[in-house]
Amino acid sequence: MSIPLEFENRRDFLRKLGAASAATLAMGAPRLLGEEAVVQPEAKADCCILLWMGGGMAAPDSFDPKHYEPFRKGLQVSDVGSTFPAIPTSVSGINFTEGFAEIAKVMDRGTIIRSAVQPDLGHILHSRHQYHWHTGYVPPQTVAAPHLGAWMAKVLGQRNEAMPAFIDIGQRLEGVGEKEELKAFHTGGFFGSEFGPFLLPYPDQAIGAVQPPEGMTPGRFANRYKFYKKLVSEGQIGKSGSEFQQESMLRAMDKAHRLLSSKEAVAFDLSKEDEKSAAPYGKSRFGQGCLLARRLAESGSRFIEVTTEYQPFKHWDTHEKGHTTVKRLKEEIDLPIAQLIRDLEERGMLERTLVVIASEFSRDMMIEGVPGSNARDQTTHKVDAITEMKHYGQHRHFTGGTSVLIFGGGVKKGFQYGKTADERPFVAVENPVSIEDMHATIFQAMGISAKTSFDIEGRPFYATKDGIGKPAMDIFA
Amino acid sequence: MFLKFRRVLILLSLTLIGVAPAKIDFAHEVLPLLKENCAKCHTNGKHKGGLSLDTRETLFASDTVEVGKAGASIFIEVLTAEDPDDRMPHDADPLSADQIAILTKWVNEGLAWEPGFTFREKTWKAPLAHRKPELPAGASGGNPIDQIAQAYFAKNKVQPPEEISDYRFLRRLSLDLLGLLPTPQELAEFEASTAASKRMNKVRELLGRDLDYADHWMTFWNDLLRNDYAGTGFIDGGRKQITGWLYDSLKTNKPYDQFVRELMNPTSESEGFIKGIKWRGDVNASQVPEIQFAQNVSQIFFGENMKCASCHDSFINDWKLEDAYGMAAIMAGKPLEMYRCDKPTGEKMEAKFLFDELGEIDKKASKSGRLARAAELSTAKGNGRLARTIVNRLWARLMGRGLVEPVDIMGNRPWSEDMLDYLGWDLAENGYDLKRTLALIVASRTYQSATVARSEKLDDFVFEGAVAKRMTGEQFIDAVWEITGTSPGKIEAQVSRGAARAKVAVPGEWIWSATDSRPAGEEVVFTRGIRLPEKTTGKMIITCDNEYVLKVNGKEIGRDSNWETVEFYEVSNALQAGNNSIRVEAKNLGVTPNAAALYVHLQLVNADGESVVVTTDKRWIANGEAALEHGAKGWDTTVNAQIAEYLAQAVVGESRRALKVRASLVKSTLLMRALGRPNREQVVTTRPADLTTLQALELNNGAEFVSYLDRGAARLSSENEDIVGNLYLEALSRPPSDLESAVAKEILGKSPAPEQVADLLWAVLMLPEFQVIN
Repeated sequence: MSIPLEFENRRDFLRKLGAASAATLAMGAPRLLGEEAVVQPEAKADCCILLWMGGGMAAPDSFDPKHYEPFRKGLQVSDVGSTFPAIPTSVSGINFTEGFAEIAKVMDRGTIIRSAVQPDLGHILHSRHQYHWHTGYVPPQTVAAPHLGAWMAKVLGQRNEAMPAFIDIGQRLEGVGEKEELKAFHTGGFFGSEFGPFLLPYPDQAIGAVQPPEGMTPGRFANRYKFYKKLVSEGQIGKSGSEFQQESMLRAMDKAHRLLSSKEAVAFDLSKEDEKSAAPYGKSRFGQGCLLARRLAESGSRFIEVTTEYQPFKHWDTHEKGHTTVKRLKEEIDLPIAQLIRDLEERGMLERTLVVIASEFSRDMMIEGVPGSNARDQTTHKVDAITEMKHYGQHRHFTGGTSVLIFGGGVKKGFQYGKTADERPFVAVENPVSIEDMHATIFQAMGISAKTSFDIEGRPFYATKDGIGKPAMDIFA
Repeated sequence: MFLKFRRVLILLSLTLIGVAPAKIDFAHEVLPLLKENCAKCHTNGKHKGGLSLDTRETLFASDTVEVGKAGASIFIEVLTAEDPDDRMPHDADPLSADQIAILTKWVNEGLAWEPGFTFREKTWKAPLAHRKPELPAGASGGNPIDQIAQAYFAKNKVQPPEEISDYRFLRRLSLDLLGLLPTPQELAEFEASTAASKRMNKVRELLGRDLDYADHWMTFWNDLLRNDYAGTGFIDGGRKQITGWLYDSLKTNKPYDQFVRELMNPTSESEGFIKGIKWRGDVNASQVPEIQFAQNVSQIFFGENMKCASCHDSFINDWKLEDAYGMAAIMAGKPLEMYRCDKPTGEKMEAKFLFDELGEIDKKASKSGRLARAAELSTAKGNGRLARTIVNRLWARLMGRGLVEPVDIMGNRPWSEDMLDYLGWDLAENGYDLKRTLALIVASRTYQSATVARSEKLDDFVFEGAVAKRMTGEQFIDAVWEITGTSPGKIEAQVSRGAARAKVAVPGEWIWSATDSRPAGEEVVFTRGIRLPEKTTGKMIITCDNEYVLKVNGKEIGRDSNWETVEFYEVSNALQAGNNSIRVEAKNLGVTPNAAALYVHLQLVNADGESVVVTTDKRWIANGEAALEHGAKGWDTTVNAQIAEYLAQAVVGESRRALKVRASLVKSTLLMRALGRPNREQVVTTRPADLTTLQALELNNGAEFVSYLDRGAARLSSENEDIVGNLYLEALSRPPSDLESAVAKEILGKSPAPEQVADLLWAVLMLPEFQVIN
């Protein structure tokens, strides 16, 4: 399935792209700073897949089990750490919670970071923390901060010219709450839309995005383009001034056309997946998204994000009925995530693919934000003793310590890094990993220095805020 | 030295692969150190001991550093010399171990330097005051822009580009001023007109279309002022629109100084701008609304970058933390505590205006008093930067590149100080009338010339002519809606677009004589006095058989000698409160006595939007006597339709189009975002110039765009007209060549079905010629 690069075209493309960059430079566009000063680390992975648990996945109910108390009437909230019992994983000494039996089986292929921390931003807005997690910068910002995927698209470029570098699966930007805030970070930022996300909100309809418009046969599509090229060559665009725009515009049209008629497009078509190999991924949007991510990684995308989709008060955003909701979610995602790891391994791709499972923050039964925060408590039912099932769950946002699971990209296998306290507050007590450090770690695996910077309006803008991110080098083998 | 340096670098990069040490940050770590300890003796032209640190190059030239080898560098060695006479810095405490470590590492890592940074003082400093440049002697043309450009071209040995055709001019003009394609009918009329002043008349007519103008410039100002109809912050009430105020300001061409004052010292309608954008939760010190105010006011109105200085003294320009906080304190509720890099300093900052040489802000004044004072200083007579910044932005919009680039760094030297200063002075001198500046630019031969290739140079840039611009997403979508007839029916922006078009009658009378009684060569001065209780805006329509010179309060407004065309003038600037005199110096031509006629229609609108119409009638004075009014004799059949059209479009401000709703007045869609409409969380002053692949994809198969094509094709294919010819005229403002017709007809086939028409539509709309304003 791996497609060789078309070197002839690629060289041509790069040459012309060089001209374009030089021209935009004059107009104050991003410029790579101090190339000789930053040494890019050796890349351990060529592709990054981010599996996003939008809405705040509670570590104590997922990858970091604490004291378990089953539901019963009269149960004191303060007595509960986890609402799921712990289960063993394939690595002795590392436990997950019930419902993640499949992921537990592949733990011996990856590293669990138990000490990711987020800053206290006061009264919590999910999309603001997600913006922070995805760009490394807390909004508002004076310049539009690029998404993690845009950094990879910009610095590392496309892996395969016919595949978009940055693909985002499963998040709708219309018809959902906080959509404006979501749009604000689903962007190429100051790098421009060339490096922005290719949005595929519905994985089963992904093929539509890389096909001729609905109802147009491939023959008609090819014909339309042929006539277009003829019209261009017969046209009379200014012979002096506009060659540049003409060139760049035609190049973009050409790339788009090639993508829409390329054989790579089949990667977007889930109906082409063998029934047997598709089965473990199930029919949920997230499961289908994982399958799509695998196919796109195989075909040469650089960065792929698959989300359980953030919708206020849905999915991981549990303000009530937390336990029940998470139980259902786990059923939806456990096998697809594990299967993705197994598939990548089976295809010999896991070593060169970095898979990260993360969320904007954790949750807690008691504490909003971090201990001592002035963040407004947002749980729906403020009770001390649980009387109904809907009170049972992690209903407060917690930023003091959470888990991130990483596979591939040169990380150690069956390794735990950092930990949270055994007793509430479950804050990170060892090797805390800030968002800057988390990004530095991901960038390190991908071969990007955390200090990589671009000149934006005359000042440096770094891959991690102020270039301060330090990769957690201990997790690399 | 240089060769050796190259080799060392290569070695370095080989040995360092696989390791990612925290690299030294020149701007934040090294530069402050050099500034404090070395600059006094080794920068800005001083080079004690042969060492100049002005630039990376001068440092190399000193032979005191071995790149990559701190151990072999005298530069490092002298820092730790035991003998105080040898140790650097001289007569000062030695550097700390940490500081020495930073410099050592810096040398070892290859001496990273901020590109373009120099310790040398800038030899050129942007002046603050206005200056009226002497227009070059010997240059001709009447338009000051052309006079300055001609002298510039001669000095720089540039061959001025050729003048463009009427078609191209009208397309460019219409897109630049109103964001709209000219209609085929408009093109035909314009092409057919033989009036000497037809281009200038067109400029006046377009600028008089207030609603179209406001619709178009909403895009520009929404980008600048971060105004939108949906966006971040609204969810928590952390943001407020200024839509209604902005639209009215554009519609009435509010003087720019007043416009700025109303933004800085706002009413409840315009306060959204200084309130900024607040996301839920706590905000870091460098992004609180007060700092946003400091940054945005500095950038938008004065082209100064205060973003670095919001956190620490800037390394790239002269602004200090105090300057940023001084501006921020203007709108703070109390003296503002300064934060350096997000850590409190314990110091409080009082309000201080960016250019404090213009005047102080009373520390005791209330917040509204401080804002009022800042607004006053912003628009003070001595502040030429306000006008220069906006004229530069307008120039960049129209000419494809600013006089100063980037347009947000007005401290950079313009390629012509005379051009920048003249336009700035002219704006301030003429009541900050932005339409006047636009008219001045588009009336110039410099604007009306073929575009040249885009230059990549920044420092030694030479202006050779305008460069082509890419349509904004809004222009593109408006054009598509117009051509396909698919514009939405509802405006989403809360704007007042005035009363709907009433049936237009031509109310005035013709005066002079309908019988063949006026001598050939007779000259008559027609006058009319008007007393206005307050300043009002005015638009005038006029035609005369045979010639006229129109003056308002002694100022010549225009002249023409073709009675078959009607001219339109914006006369607001010439009008004043109190007595006004309208004077038409008319002349009858011919060889024998013949009929002669004058028609004038003046529409006056006061600040409350009330309007009064003054037309030619018996109250006009002709050479000191009452003018004779009379019926029309043929004039009406020739020009009444034109007058009615002007009344409808120019005076009432209504568009003549199928396009009912402009893209600038609806919420952003996926297609608009793809085509570069920003989300307006940040100030955007320049849209991207290139089409990207993701945009091209959206234009190939995006559902929104495809639906416009399909609906347009269904409509067009049911019409039996010349589809190809009309489409070329509408989209490209020119007829197709024979070869193009042939290709287009090949696409359409014998009896075009909607599918084929859709494909033709797509092909034409994808042409660079369509998407570029050339």
